[in-house]
Order: sequence, then structure tokens, then C-alpha cells
Amino acid sequence: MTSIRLPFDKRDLESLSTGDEITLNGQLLIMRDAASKRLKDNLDSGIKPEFDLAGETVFYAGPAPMRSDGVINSIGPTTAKRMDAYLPMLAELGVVATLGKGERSPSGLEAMKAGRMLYLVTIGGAAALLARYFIKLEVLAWPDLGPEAVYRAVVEDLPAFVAFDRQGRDLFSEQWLAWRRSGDEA
Amino acid sequence: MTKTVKIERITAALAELLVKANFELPEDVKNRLEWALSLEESPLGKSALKLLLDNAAVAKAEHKPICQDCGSVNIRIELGEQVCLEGEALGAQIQAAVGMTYKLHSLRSSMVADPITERVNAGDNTPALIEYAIVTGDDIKISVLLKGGGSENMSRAVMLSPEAGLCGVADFVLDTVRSAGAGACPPVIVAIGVGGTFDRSAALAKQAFFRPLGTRSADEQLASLESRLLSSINDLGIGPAGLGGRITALDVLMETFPTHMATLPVTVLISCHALRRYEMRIS
Repeated sequence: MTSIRLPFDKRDLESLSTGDEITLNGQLLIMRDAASKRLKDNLDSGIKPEFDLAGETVFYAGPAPMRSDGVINSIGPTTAKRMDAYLPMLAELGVVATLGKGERSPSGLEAMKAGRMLYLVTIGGAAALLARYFIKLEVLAWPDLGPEAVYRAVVEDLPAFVAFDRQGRDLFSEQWLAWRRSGDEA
Repeated sequence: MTKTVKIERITAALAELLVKANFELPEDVKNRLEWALSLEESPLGKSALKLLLDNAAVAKAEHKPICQDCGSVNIRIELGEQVCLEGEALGAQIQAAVGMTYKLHSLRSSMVADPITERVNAGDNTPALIEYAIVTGDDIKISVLLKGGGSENMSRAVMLSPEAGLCGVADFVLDTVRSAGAGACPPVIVAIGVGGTFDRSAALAKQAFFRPLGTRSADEQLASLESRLLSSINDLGIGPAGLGGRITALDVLMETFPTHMATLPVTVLISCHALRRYEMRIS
């Protein structure tokens, strides 16, 4: 298990490889469907982002609302593939890695390769447990989007896996091939 | 003999079911995760299953929802013919109870008002999707199913040609689970509705989610098909969290209904591991 500091340094970006079990420490920028779309629409109409994405790791998530006692509530990854169309935009804005759940589409993998981006995954549906690793969570932009707003999070020891590395290796296709049993027709 | 039931009793029961469903993973699902862990061979898959079991314990102990996606709220009210409701506007009161419960327990609102363009979040996860049925009897059954968006996205329906038969149904199920990949948060529960009409097949599949995991259909032929499909799905290799492994599905549940001679409707609904559903009877 390798402990990784965020924002990523160049050496970690180069040295991590697909299948590595890691823990994340430091800052994440949280954004999902609606915020990605607004960012894109804004850029298309010449409006610059009101937050800096350079060097960031974008976490695709929409947390449960903060509890009244101030405890950080359940938070977990959403399906990354839905945000594949926005990968070239994120690369352009300087994002170096994304964190989500599930496999990416072929075009998503291509975009990450072109943008030299890493893809990390964590466990979907383990949101109550994952909340323990979040030490800060606050809205950074677009609060009107509710759970789809842009958030700044700080994590400590958040468990994750490297799913796509700088060599272009995809964890999901490798693992599925390795564990598939032939004759899978009923 | 007619029985009178106040609407407030229905909404109170509903609130209780919603809280339970968000914070307590059903026993049969937990048992099935343990079963999966005993069979899983992949190290990454085992890690994922352990995390899911830990998550269930943390959710209950720390009163945090099992998943940040607290679902669309699917409610079914079965009203016995002998029951007389006291009060007004059952539907509106149910919606109010859902909204209040989601606000009160800091549960995420995932419903957006206009599905196509504006997609403005409702803020209290309403409207719930309510369905009513009149049944024989003198009590009321309330069923609640919280359906996450990630796995719902992977559900599919098809109108097969009747000659496609058993193989056609099996192929469609496998193809659906294969293309669902890791996005549906495996290990998944696969519910299959066959027959009726296009929409009825989906209702059948939804109903199948309420059967306890690990039990087979009472129909022998269906029971055998469920077992074969489960084993074929688990040969796909997708594994827990999609990280590769022996367990891609916790179970396959199937329901059928007579259909038109020209049709063979099939719906495959996929649930993530967090099959959050509970039922309660009021009499």
C-alpha cells in the first residue's frame, strides 16, 4: 500500500502503475455531471472557470448533505464513464488525475492517454465507510447545484486503486480477462 | 368487515421504512455478502467485499446512509379491499412524508424536476414513485425500494421474438450484466421480469427484488434458470466493484406472467449490492 500526497507530484504520476493499491492524502476537487456540464457550457461561451483546476485530482461524487451536527456524511464515487466526454476539457485545464468508480469507455481511455491523466478508483457503495477518510468538505462553487456543486475536499488515507496509468494500462479490461471463465453462455 | 385505517399510520410506517432502508442493509443481503466473501478468490475482489460489509456496519453505527446515493424512492401500497382509509390526499401526504424524512436525516436528494433540460434538484428527493394496488384482505402492505442511479442506468428492456425462447432470455440477461460492467457497483442483484406487456415486465422485475436473496423461484423451471444464470454471470469475471473476481452477482431473481401470443417482453433490472428494500403490514 503506497501513501500518495495530493496534489500529485510529477514523480508519483510517472511511477504509479495499474493495479497499485494506494491511499490518498491531501486535496480533491469534487465535480460530477451537472458541474462538468456547466464548466463546459461556460468555456464554450468564453467564460473562464472561477476555480483553478491546474494540478488537481477530480473526484466524481455527489455527497450526502452535511449533517446538522457537522459530521461529514456519506460520500462515495459515482460512475466515471458518464464524465468521459469532459476528459479533454479537464486535461486542457491541467487536471492530472480523476477518481471515480467503474471502467471508462474506449474514447475515455484515449482521452486520458492523450492528456497523460491517471484514473483512480475507489469502492462504490461504501460511502458511510469512506466518509471517515474525509477531514474537510466544503462547497467551492455553484451551490445552486446542490449535491452536484463543486466541492473542495481534504482526505487522509482514502483507499483507492490505480485503474489507468501513464503506460496506458487499463485495470478493468486486464482483470476481467484474467477472471473470466469461458463458456459464459447459459 | 371493513376496517378503518388513518392515513397518518401509513405515512408514519413509511417514514420508518425509509430510515431503515437508508441506514440498515437488509439481513439477507448481508448474509449473501458473507456468502460471496467465502467464495471469492480474487484478492482485490475480497478487499472490496470486506469494505462493503464494513460499510454496512459503519452506516448503522454512525447513522450515515449506506450509500451517498439515497436513491429514487419507490413505494408500493397494497390496499386490502376491506380497508377504509380515514383522511385525505394519501398521495400528497406520502410525498410530504418522503420529503420530511429525507430532510430530517440529511439524506441526499437525487431527484431533478425536469428530466431533459433544466434538471433542477428537488432538494428533498421528491417526488417518490408511488404505485397502488387493490388486493383482497383487510390490511395494508407498504413496500419501499430505494434505487440508486448508477445501477438503474444499467437496466434494460427488450421485446424478444417468441421463438427466441429460453436462450434468447438468457443471452439478453448475460449481455445486460456484461455491458453493465463496474458502473452498477457489483456484486449486483439481477431481477428479471418476463411476460405481460412491455411495462408489466419491468413491474415484475421490480417485484422480484423483494424476494429474499438466496431463495429460488417456486417454479422448478424458473428456479433452475435462475441458478444457471447466476453461475454464468459469475463466470463473467467482472467481480466485486468490477475489480475482477468470481462474484459479479449476489443473486438472480425472476418473475413471469402470461403474455400475448406474439410477444416475449423481458426486463432486466440491476441493483447495486445495496438492495435497500423493506416491507411492512398495517392492520
